[in-house]
Amino acid sequence: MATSSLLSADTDVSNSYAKIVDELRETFDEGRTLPLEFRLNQLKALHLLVEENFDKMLAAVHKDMRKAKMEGASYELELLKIDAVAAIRELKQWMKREMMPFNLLLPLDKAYVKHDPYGVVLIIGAWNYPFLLSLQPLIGAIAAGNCVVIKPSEHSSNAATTIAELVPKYLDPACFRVVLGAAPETIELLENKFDYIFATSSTRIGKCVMQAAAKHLTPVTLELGGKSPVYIDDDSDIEIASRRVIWGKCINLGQTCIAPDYILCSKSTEKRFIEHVKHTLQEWYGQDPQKSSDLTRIINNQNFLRLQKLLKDTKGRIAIGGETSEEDLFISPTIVADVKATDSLMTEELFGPILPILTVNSKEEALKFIKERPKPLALYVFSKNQRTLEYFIEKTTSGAICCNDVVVQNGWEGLPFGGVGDSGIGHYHGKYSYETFVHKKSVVQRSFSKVGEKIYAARYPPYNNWNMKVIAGFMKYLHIFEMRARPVTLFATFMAGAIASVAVTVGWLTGFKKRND
Amino acid sequence: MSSVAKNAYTEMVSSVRKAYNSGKTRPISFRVQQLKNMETMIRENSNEILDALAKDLRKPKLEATLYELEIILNELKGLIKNCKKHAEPDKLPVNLLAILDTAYIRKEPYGVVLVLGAWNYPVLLSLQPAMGAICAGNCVVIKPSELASHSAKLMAHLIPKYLDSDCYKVVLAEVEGTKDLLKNKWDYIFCTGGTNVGRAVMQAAASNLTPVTLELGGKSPCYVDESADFDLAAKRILWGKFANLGQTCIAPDYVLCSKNAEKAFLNMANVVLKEWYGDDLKTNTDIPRIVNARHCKRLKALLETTRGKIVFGGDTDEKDLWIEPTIVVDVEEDDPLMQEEIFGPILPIITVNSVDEAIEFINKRPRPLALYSFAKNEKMNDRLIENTTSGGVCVNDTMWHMAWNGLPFGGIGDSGMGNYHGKFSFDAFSHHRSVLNRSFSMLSEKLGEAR
Repeated sequence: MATSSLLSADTDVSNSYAKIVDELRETFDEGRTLPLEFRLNQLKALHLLVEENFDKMLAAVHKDMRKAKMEGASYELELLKIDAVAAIRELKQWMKREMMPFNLLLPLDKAYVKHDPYGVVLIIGAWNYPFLLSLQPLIGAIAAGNCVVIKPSEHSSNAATTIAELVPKYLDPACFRVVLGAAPETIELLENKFDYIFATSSTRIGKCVMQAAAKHLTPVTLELGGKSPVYIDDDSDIEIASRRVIWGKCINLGQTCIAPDYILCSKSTEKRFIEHVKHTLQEWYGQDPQKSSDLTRIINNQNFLRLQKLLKDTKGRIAIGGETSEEDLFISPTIVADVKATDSLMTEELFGPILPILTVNSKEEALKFIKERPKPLALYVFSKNQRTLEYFIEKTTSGAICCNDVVVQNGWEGLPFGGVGDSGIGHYHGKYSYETFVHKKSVVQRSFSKVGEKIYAARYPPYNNWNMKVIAGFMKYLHIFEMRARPVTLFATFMAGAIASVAVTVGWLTGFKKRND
Repeated sequence: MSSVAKNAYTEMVSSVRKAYNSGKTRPISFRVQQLKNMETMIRENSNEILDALAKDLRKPKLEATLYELEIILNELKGLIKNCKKHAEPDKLPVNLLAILDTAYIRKEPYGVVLVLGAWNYPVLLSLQPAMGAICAGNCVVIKPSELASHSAKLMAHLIPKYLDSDCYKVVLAEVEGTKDLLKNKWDYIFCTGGTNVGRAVMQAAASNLTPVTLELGGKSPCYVDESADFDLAAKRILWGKFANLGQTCIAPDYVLCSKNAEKAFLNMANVVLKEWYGDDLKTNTDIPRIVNARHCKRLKALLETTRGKIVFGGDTDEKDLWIEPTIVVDVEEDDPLMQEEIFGPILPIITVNSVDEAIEFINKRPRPLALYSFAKNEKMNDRLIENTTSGGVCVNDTMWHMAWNGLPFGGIGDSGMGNYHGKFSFDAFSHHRSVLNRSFSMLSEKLGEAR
């Protein structure tokens, strides 16, 4: 049975962390995590972990933030299972060496890219999707052949202790460990040298993580946040737009890194938007949203008070909602209209069920507003006019951009998920997760054969102009001799073969004729 | 946006950002034209460049031409030809369940890129990263290394003449100036330098969450098996070691081999070095010089304090920035020569009695930028490749993995992060942005209603 990795904050924490990292490094150096079989077994075990403890995990996030079963299942556990299954299916292919095409000028060279795992990886999870954001990166790290320390967020404490309890039961504890702790413990943990750090957190914490990583030259992927803007064009299907936007805002009670943060639209669109949302909220949550079991709660008192204050300080007009209950850590889905750029609601990422609407009178105005602000994790644009969509796609940048919907770009098969600027560095999901956690090592294997040596030896002293020209020519024309399966190359090879066969046959027949004359 | 205290470069960075925001660098035609201008710049000024390199490092014409100019020109050609292709979005396969939606990955420039060059291949290591950033649609500020001052001044003089001076700038600065430069908010930083420089750059980048590519260094080990062809092994190792007088990030730093292999290696080495340089290496014009007095002093001190036995070379002349190509045997792992990257023409040989011993030795140390293995016995080479990691590997030659266009070039651990060359350069300087374009159709709404 693995030694418990449940640590309390006041034990000799830093020594314990150093010990864990050393142990994992030793295991890694032994090569245990390298074979395909091992990685597949661990991924299957992780899949089993989720499958066998589905209800237990749902209960944990329900306890942490009253996450509805449907949300916990669809937006965490099912996603994990899908990702694990895909990794298991594709891993052999992903691990294959990427061979370079044969080159006629380097006929005996073999060149390829090999994928080496980094070694000991640290994954820092977040509290809003506690299982997903600790274990989805883990899938990539395992697939890539690393050992991993997982540090789930202390704010979702039930999920964290569940992870700490289950991981040692299913995964090899010599390779994968869970560490519990809060900010001081995380700082201690970061003193150690990791070979890769993957963190999901706020922009502020992201900076701290990168600073700590810089001391050891540890590469990082940072999934951060920010305010994800929504532009709703007058030429939109406002009914569908409003449903999709409010859905994105209400899931997890707005505590999603890619939740639509605020809306930019004209006054007339705002009016129609608010009308539709009123009906939609009624349809989904009834007269009293607080009574609906489908709405999550704010994670803790600190965040509740933060949001409550933002609402209190707003100079906008609360058009829908605005009810708060500290006891229940509940804030009802709230729309605030007539919000100005200087409003309290525009000072930080909301991360709650408050949706400010700011008035813009053209797409140009919206563009200017967006570009004046930090690069968001997600940008949302609603319009029936493809040209308007292209306008925003071309003229902005963001982690991702989704047209005519929100949030669903996450989990879209084949699309990488990550930020840019203040919203993050690097990306993952699917094959991108695997690639995040491997180092692409270039390998060239030459031989001692004398074939080609006349060219290669031109590099040696004594230097002269002729040799210089030989090597220069070699370097310049090398790519032409690459035998890629280009149509021209294939045709030329075929023709060469055809001509050769004909020549040989004719030659033989002539010879035959001559011999029989 | 982020509040940066005003410094000497605030205005310049601001003006470059303005140029970027104008959208000037987005059209492919603009980028290709700038790259073509850079090509013209090299062709029209190749003599001046060779001259500057000769003044900075006494770089021989062949080395300067092949390992700086020719590489630059070939890379430029590749980027010019493929810019449009590289910039094309990656389309995703059609998903029947989402037939009305389009999903693809756009390649977007980051914005304003800072390129910090190095002094050993001063023109190459400023321009090769810069051209990748230009190709990807960024604006670029290049800060060449002040240690190669003639090359730096030449680039500062030429770039504004050939490239758009709003979008691409060259800044000359020393250590303090570079610190100021790093205080500004960049959208990407590309740095070629030593491990300590890399740490400082990443620290500075962290305060603005600026992504980085760091091409650093370290000690690149070279294992020589008894099954090696010693004639070719000696030639290829000594070529890699003494080009640029050992001042190459992927030079074979030290050799690991058995005493038998060492004997065979040294026999060949003597023959080869005589063949290449004759009797008087100091007057041989094929050999460059050490970049400056500080480094020369450093290398001289290594020769004076080593407890190994100098079997070839050993001559020094600080006034001439001269360190003779030197081979030292019987070097122990705690020798002064084994404490940091040599970056000079001194080749220590350390005795190991098996490839496993070599693997153990290598794995105890920081991950190198390059790993070399010489053996006819493929199993030896494979063992090394499988049981170690490094930026790159070359078997039976040194530095040759650079020749293969299509291979990424970069380090791991203390030797760096990220990679570049060719398409990898374009990708290093692009943000891959996911685009999902959904429709308003009632059909997709019905399909999505379950949420």
